[in-house]
Amino acid sequence: MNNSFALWSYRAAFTFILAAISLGNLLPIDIRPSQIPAPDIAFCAIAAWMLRRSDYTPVIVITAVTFLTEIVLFHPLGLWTALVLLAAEFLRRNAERIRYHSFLTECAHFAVLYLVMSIGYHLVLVISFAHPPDFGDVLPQVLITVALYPLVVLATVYIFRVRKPSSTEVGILRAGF
Amino acid sequence: MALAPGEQNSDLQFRRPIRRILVAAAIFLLVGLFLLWRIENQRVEQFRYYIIDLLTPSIKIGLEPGQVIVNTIEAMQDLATVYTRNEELQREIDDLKAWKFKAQLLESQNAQFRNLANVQTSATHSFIISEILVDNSSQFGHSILINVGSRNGVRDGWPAIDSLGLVGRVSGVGRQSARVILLTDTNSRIPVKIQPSSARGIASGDASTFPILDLLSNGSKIESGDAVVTSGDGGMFPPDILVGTVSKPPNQILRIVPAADFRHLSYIKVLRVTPIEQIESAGGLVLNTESIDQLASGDLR
Repeated sequence: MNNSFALWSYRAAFTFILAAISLGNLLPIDIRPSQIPAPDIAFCAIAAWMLRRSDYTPVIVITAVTFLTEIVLFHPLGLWTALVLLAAEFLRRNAERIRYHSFLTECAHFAVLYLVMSIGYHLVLVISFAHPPDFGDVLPQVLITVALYPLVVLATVYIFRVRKPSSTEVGILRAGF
Repeated sequence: MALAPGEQNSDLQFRRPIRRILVAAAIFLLVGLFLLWRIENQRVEQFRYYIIDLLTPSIKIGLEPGQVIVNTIEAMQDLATVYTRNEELQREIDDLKAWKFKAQLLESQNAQFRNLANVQTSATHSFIISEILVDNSSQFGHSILINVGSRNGVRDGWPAIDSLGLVGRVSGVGRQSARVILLTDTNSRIPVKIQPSSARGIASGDASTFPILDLLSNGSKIESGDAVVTSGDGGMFPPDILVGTVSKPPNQILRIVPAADFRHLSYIKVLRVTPIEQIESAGGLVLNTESIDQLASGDLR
């Protein structure tokens, strides 16, 4: 009972954080175009939570928030959400494996995954003649997102107290997911 | 749910494959939606505006806390600079008083000349005031959503200005929201003229704060600080809306410093533009075609 309450409150917190990140991007504070590409903090948060506790990150929340963001930002519809969904499921399946390596390995995994997603996204846009943004912007955006990942992990672990499960919990998780 | 491991095993045999099928179906649907978006762009974009209209109220509520935090930070920053700011403003007011006197003089003179020359000025524009809903700028483009739409009579292509100058152009209208493509967007091209020399040009955005000024005629007489206004060429925009001032760095391309305050945009005016009469045939200007037809059939009374 107590356990179930904790699980659902963590899921609610995850939903709340993703929604807050997406809304933060929409705040009309300073409309001047910035020279620094915006980091994808939402995906950082998805990966950071997923690699720690994959039971706190319902696939429906990830899909819904990413898709709604895509709609409001006037991005090509569906493509990035599909990629995030694929990546999230990849991380979910490999969470246990990646989780018990060093933190550096985790960052490397994240970097490679995000790079592959970004290039794949750009490639599909080019192939489908969908007016992709400058290819020159892709790499800086990947770099800044990867650079922010450790900070998001720090916040996830120390502010929201999402930690790798202890060995007793692992058995339960393995059965559930 | 935290069931005991023993209880779950039977349940699990069904849950895992079903979950996998659902995720695969979702990915399939999303990719399908992307393809549909490429093929039937218009309809899918309509669907997008439909969803945005549904989301608008919750986005508004969701942004409220963020807005409060930002306002508090700005208020504190203002507090720190309030004295220097005050002095600056005092000096500016003195300056403006002199200008106001000059302007009144010129206005009365202007009115007299107009009267003498019997000039017919075009009607002043009416406008719809709106608030910025969200800033949806990203690597794909620079645009904002405002909280008026077809419900308020907003049409595609109308200019959007703040209290100082042009902000952008309405592109895409939902029921209670509309998208404004900003001057700075890479797709924005606005026909302009430069004020004292009346040279023509195009203001084209390049994703930087200062749009490029492409001159159509020889630009030797243009100086830094000249006013840039819309020319009305192409019939899209009414003429003489302030866009900004020319910035002329030595040996570099001309750029425009927008007059609109993109740092603190909050209210946006959307100008109502009545479509310009299209002249399609030579006679159309003198007599409208209906009366010509009526003349031909002989029942014009």
